[in-house]
Amino acid sequence: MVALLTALSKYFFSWLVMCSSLLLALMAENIYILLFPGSIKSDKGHIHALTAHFRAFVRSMNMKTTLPDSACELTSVYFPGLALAAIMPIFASIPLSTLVPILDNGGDMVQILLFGILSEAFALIAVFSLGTHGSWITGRRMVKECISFMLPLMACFASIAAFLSVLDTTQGDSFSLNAFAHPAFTGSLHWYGIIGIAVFIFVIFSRIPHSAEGQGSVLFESGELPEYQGAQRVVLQIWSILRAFTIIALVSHIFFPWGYFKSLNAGFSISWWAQAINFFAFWFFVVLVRVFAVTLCWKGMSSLENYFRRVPGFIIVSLLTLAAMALIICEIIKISMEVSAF
Amino acid sequence: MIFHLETGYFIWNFLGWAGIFLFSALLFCFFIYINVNKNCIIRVKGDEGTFIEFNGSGSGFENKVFLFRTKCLAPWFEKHFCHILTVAVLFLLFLTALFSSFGVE
Repeated sequence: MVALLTALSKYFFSWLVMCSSLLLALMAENIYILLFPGSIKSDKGHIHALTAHFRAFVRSMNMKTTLPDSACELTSVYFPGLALAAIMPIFASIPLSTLVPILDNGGDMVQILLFGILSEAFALIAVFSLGTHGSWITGRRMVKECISFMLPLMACFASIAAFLSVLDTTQGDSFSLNAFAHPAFTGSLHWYGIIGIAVFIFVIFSRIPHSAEGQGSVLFESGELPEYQGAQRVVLQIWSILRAFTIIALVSHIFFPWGYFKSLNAGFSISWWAQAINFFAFWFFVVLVRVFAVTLCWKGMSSLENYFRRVPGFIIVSLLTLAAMALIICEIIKISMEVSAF
Repeated sequence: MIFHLETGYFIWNFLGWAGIFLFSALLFCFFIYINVNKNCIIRVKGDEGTFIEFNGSGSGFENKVFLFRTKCLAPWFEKHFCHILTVAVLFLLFLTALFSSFGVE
């Protein structure tokens, strides 16, 4: 009984810390709208854009819950909650998202992908179960976005895991997030490996599902599915923002200069002070990446698609992914040759 | 029950994942339940209200996927022995994974 209560309190406090970290996602989204205003423009000035999403969500929560005639009530109302819940284990695998480690072995890339697919499945069921023509169009768009987003992510994880298994610094678990974030990984890359990783990051960030109208990474654009209103719609919108933010935090965690910060913190004798600096530096870095780097990748990909108008977008993404994989394979061959030479 | 799967290749903490997922699901669904219950659900007329069948008039890629599904995959799925074949393939994959030394220290 005591063990159960201890476990529950541990999960509850970690969950609260995760929720407060996830509020950062909404803040980052609002900073993006403030700096790159699209269709969400306030008559009262730019400063109101900082709270645009919060106000929209609160307004939507206060509206009456409406569903189309053809909707299946249980799935379209409660599955958004399950989709959002499936994001939480992914978020918990990032060590700085929970101050108390609740996944004792850290995250695993296979686990992260499984929960990502589970979360997408719940969200898709919620949208498709509305049973209207509008929901069918939205659902089909979500499937396309999910595939073109997940495939480069899987290719990236598999390539890095193959590289790490050749590097032999992982003690068997090549898919562990700790192995991915180890300074030995980024420190041992040659120039084509670095270019390959850069291309992967560009493809992943540019395929993060987002609105074409400058509304950021919310799921429904303004006026989309007007017959689906209420708390469940708000939860789906938050789910979409958190999905983007979690993936950005994950990629940032892998390539964050941990070695530099460890050397910087070496002078501090108080460990919690060094931990606090790491915590704030990391989340500040994630917000910067969300606001500037991801926007740059979105713009870069749309410029590429405009330049090669006759080539479909998924062909460009596939070619870039294949090129990045080829560069990582070159890196693996080079490392293997070095290892065999010794 | 296995709550902790540890092989030479990976360590999966099922209890940790399930704990976070179920705890979050409970709280988020409760949050939705409170809001929905407070306001009651209003049914409105949807735009069509019917499932739209794919008629093959989409883009080229969609047509190809549709043709692949109907011409190549569907005949296999309609066979009576399909489920037995699937079980056999899965069993073969399982045997391959079990008896190969891949990922074992």
